[in-house]
Amino acid sequence: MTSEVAVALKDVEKSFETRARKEAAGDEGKIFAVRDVNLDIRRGEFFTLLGPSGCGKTTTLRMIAGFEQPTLGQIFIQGQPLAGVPAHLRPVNTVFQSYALFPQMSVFDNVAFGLKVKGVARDEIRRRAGEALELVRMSEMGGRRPSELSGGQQQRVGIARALVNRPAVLLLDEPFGALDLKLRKEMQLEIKNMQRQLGITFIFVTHDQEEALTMSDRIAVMNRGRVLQVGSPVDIYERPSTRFGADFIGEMNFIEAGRLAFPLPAGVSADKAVLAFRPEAVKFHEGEEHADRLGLDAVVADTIYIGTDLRYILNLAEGQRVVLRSQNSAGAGRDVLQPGARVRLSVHKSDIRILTE
Amino acid sequence: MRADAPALLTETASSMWTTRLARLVPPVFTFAALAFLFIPIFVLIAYSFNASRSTVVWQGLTLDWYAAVFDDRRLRQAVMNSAFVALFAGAFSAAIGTLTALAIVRRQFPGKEMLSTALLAPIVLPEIVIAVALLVFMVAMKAPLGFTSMIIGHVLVTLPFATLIMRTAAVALDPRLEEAAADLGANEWQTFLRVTLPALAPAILSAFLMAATLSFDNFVMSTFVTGVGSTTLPIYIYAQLKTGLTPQINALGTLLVIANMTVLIAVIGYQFRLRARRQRLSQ
Repeated sequence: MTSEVAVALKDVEKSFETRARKEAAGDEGKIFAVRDVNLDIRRGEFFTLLGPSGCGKTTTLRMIAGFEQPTLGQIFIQGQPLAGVPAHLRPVNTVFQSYALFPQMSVFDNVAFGLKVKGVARDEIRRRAGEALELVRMSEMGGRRPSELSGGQQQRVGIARALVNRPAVLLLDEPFGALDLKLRKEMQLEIKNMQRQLGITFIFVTHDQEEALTMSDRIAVMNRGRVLQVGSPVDIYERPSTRFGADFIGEMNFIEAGRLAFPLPAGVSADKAVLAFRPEAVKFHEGEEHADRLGLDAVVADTIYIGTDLRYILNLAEGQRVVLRSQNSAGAGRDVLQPGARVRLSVHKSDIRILTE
Repeated sequence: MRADAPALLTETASSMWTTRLARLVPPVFTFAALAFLFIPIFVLIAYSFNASRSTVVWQGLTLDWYAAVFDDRRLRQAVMNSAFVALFAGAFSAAIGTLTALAIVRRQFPGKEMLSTALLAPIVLPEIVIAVALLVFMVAMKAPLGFTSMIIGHVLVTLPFATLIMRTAAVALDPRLEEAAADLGANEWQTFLRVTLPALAPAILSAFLMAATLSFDNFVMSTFVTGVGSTTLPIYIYAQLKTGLTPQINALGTLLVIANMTVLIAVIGYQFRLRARRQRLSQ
C-alpha cells in the first residue's frame, strides 16, 4: 500500500533560453530552474521539497500542478503521464502561499468553487463544503469575505477549498510562509494531523528546515535545481550526503581531515575529505583517550548563553573553528569556561560524517 | 556677549513670524484653488433660479427655467441622444479596454510593446486630427453619418482612457487567482467568467463611467461625425449660443451637476459601508 507511487518525476528539467552573459548561463546558453529531477513520491506520504529560495522547489511543484511545463522529462500521477494535460484536468489541488482566495466570493463560495465548476449537485456541494469547513474549524465563517479574515483563517479556507475536491495529491507551496511563528507551529501540527487522518499524499514546499523535519515522512533536499538527497528526517539530519545538505539543515561543524589522524575509508583522499559533526556531538574531554573518539585541542574563543543551551566557539590548533553546544542543566551556568581557556575536546567517531566535495 | 542678546531676540521673533506666515500658505492656496474650481458652479446654480432673461442680471427667484428645460423638446432629444451615445460608447470602450488590457498584461505575443504604445496615441494626438481622419474615412467608405459614426468616434476618443484604467486593474490582479481557479478544475472560460471578470468588475465600472462621461461632453469629435438627428447636447448648446443663451442653460447645468453628485455620493456611500462592515468584523 505505502509502496505505491502517487507521483513520479523522471529526468525532469525546466530551463530558460537566455541572452544574458554566457558565463552566467553556462555553456548551453540556458538557465536551469530544475535539472535531472527524479522522484518517486509514495501514496499517502507527507513528502517535502526543502531548499533555499531559488533552488527549484516551487518550480517543481508548479510543474506537478500544471502551471508550468517541463522542458524535458515526464511527470506521472498514479502511473498516468501528465504531458499535455492542462492544470484544470489534473487530479491535484494546490494551497498557495499568498492564499489566492477569490476576494469577491464568500468563504463558503470559495470552498464550493471546485465542486460548482465540475457541476456537482447543489445538495452535495452544500454538504461537502460544509464538511470541509468543519475540518479546518471555519464553519462559523462561511458568510465572510476573505478580506475579513486573518492570515491564519485565510489559509484554513485555502486548505478547505483544495481538500473539498478530494485530490489524489495535495500540493502546498510554503503555505505558512506569511504567518507568524506561533501560528505557524499550530498550523504545522494541524496539517500533519489532517494528513494522517485523510491519508492523502501531501507534497509540501518549504525553506524552513525545522518545519520540514517536524512534518515530513520523507524530505528531498534541493539546491540549484537539483535534488541532492532524499530520505527520512532522521536520514537527512543525521546522515547528510552533501556538504550543502549538512550545512543547510541544522548547525554543522566542518573540519578538514588533512592533518588529523582520522581513519578514512579506502578511496577517499585526505586533502579532499571534510569531517562533519553536530555541535551537540562535541564534548569536553575528561580522563583517558578513547580509540573510538576523535580528540581535539582547542582554545575557548567565546561563550554564548542562549537560555536552554550554552554555546562555545572554540579555536582549533589548525586555525579552524568548532562550535560546541551543551544543554544548560542546573549546574552548567556556574562553571562556564572563560575565553582563553585551553580545553581538550572529543567527538565520538560514529557521530562524524565524512563528506567529499 | 551680552550685547548680542537683543539682536538674537529680534531675529528669533522675525523667524517666528515667517514660520507662522509659511504655515498659512498651504491652506490659503488650497482654499483659493477650491474657490476657483467651485465658484463658477455655485454661480451657475444660483443663476438657474434667476427670473431675468439675461444670464448676468439678477431679478429675483423663479423655477421657470427648470420648466423650460423639461418643456424644450429639442433639448430633451439632445440629452437623450447624448445619453444614448455615451451609454454605447462607454460600454464598447470598457469592453474593448478590458480585453486589450488582459491581452497586454497576461499574454505574450509579438508586437505587444508596439500595440500598448499605439493604444495611447489618441491621448497624445490632437483630437481634431483623429476626428478629421475618421470623417474622411467614413466619407471614403460611403458610410452614412449618424449614431454609428458618432459611437465609433467616441470609442476612438475614450478607449485609451478605458484601457489605461483596465491595465492598472489587470496588473493589480493576482495571477495566482486565475491559477487557483484552473487548479480547482475551472477551464479558461469558467475562470474568466467566475474569477477574472468579477475581480475586475469595479474597474470595469469606473472605465465605463470615465468613458461615458468623456463621451457625454465630447464636442470636437462630435461636430465632425454627427449626422442628421444625432445632435448631442454639447452640439445643441453650442448651436444655441448663436441665438443667445438664457438661464435655461443654467438650469440644465444644475440638473447635470445634481445627477453627477448623486452617482458620486452613491459610490462613496457604498465604499463607506464596505469599510464600516470590515472594521466591525475585524474587531
